[in-house]
Amino acid sequence: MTKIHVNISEARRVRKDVILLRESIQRILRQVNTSTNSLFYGSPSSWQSDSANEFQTLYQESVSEISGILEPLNDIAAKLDEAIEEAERVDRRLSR
Amino acid sequence: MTVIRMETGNVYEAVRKIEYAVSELEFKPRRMRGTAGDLKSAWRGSQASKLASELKQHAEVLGGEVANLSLLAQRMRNEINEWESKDHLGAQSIKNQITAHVVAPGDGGAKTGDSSHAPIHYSRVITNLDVIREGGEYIHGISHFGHVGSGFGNVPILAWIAPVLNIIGGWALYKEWTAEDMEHYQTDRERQAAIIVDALMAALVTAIRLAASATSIILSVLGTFSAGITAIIGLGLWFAAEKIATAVEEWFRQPSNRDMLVEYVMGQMDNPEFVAGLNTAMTTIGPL
Repeated sequence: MTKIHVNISEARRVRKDVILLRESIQRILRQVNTSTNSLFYGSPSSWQSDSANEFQTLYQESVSEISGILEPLNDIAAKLDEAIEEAERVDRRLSR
Repeated sequence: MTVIRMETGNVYEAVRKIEYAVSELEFKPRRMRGTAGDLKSAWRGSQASKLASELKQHAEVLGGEVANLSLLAQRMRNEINEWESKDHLGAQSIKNQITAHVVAPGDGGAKTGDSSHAPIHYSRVITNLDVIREGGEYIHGISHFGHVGSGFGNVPILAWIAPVLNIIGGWALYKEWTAEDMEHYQTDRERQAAIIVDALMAALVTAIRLAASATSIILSVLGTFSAGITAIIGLGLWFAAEKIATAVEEWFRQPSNRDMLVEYVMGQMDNPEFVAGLNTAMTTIGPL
């Protein structure tokens, strides 16, 4: 037998936490990217050398990995939302 | 074309932004793991466990990348320090070098300092930069020493070699080549030409290393060099100088290139203009 338990208020708080986490990471990335973009894509760029290219590659790899987390966090929040809505529907039905 | 530059102020600013981002991000993985635990408490079921597990995986990835960013910021700091340090040392070198080469117009005697015994008849200060340009043209076989060396056509070609050897007394006769390298050249004329090429190679490389670190000098050297080396040397670009110097050394070390230069010098040794320019360049460039 499948047993599902949802603490709706607690689930809402978790969902909000996930969304805040996502927004916070996105904001931090946006800020740091603004700074590093002006470093490399200014005219002329502030830092040009082999080591600058290496840095740029490694930096972009890291930022890309972190950015890759944003969409899954969105999905998790959406699934929590669905679970909360479903729990509320069941709760309303049982309350009648 | 190799271009390297660093505006250290802007790079510092970027480092600070990255470090700030790291400080803001470094607690997120722990928070994500906490949220994963809360999720499992709030929603008990297989899908909740799956989502909690995903959150933990993302926390792991985030933690690793935050550590990478922190390391990158540290490397950037080290890089900036290295550039500033090289620039400082380079600026000191060029300052010393130019000071040693300043002479009064019409001064026919030995130069100030002990780096050269060249007669100086210029109404301008000749720095290593001039010599590098001339040297670069010489290397290409273009030999446009005219405006630098005019009036010195009768100076014997070995006039500068003796004082150079005196200056470096106790050192090896040849600057870069080994005795075995020299044995490759059989006749006196060949060997004389080989000594010239060897000394020129050492002087050119030395001059590039010394001169290229001068602040705010943008210099195009060896633009059509056979190996395709072109460099714009900008603000404190010691690394560029090192790379060019190393590339030039490598180029010179190729036996076929040596032979070509030796052959060329042999063909020019009776050309007063070439000899004059060579003497001037070699006695101005010091210290070898």
